[in-house]
Amino acid sequence: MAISTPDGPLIYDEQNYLGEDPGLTRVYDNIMGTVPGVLLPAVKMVVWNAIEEFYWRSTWRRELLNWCMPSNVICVDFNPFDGNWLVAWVLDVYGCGQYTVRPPSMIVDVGHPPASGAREGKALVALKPVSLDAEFDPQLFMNWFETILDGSLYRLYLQPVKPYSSPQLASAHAKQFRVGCQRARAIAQKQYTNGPGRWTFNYYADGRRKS
Amino acid sequence: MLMTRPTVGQLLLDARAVLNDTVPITGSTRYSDTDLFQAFNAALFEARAKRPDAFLEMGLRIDVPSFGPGDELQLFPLDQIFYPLFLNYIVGKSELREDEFAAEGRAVAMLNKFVTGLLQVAS
Repeated sequence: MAISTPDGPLIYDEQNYLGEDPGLTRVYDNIMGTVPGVLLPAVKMVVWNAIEEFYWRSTWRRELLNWCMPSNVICVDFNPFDGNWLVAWVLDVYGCGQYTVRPPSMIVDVGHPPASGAREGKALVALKPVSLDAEFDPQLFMNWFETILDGSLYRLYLQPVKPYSSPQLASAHAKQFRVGCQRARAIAQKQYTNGPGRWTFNYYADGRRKS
Repeated sequence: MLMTRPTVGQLLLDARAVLNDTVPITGSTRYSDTDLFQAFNAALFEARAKRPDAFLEMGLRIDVPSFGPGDELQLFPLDQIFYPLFLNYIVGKSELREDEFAAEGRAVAMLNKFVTGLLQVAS
């Protein structure tokens, strides 16, 4: 907000603009400063939907868990992960035996005959936040601010008979959101290295010339 | 800067000003509090149907609140951007009443302005 002082030039007070939480409030301000006639509760609703879809689609937040099944137990449920996060996907299970995943967060030992004794292993899981009040990882708004903004805007523009309804803008932002999710997923799959992601071997290492 | 949310009573007072509601000779008002509160409640129903997002904070799975005489000090229940639209509606709805002072053309224009303001950017 611009404030004029009696003996000086205008001072730009950015406290109300950026807010205490420059992540989430920055998203709110960007949306409410862009979309005419939109209300804060509606903005919060679409931002939360966008954040949840982002984590669900991109599997951006991944954790490697150690699990242990005691004797006579055939399943382990990883939910809730903690107070702020839930397991959305079990991406991989490591351990001796045969396991199947029961979505979203349970692994079941399907070995026959049932194994006796305790079994243990590891599981790679993707997480999503419990609610908009959860503590998001700092990288969400640092690296994926535009993606969350796109995901929120396309939901707003897609709403029928609102002052801000616009199928064309909704389509454009939806496309950008999906691209952002795919990019986040690719980076997460490469274990958060935005490089080639795999070791490169000499051309003769696998017995054929590199094309 | 003083930031206060307007009250329902203030909205009705503003509506009376636009309606030029005081009869010069007698000093009485043409529209009773009950009439204006009914118009206000009707505006809430219309807004609930056309802009459900305005009621997100209040709750969408509950009945639309209704107001009556005695509720003048209650805060305007929706976002302040709807205040001028509600003013239009109350004036328009009141002017629809058949009497010698009412301007029917203005009533229709005010009611249309209410709907347009809810659904479009253009004023």
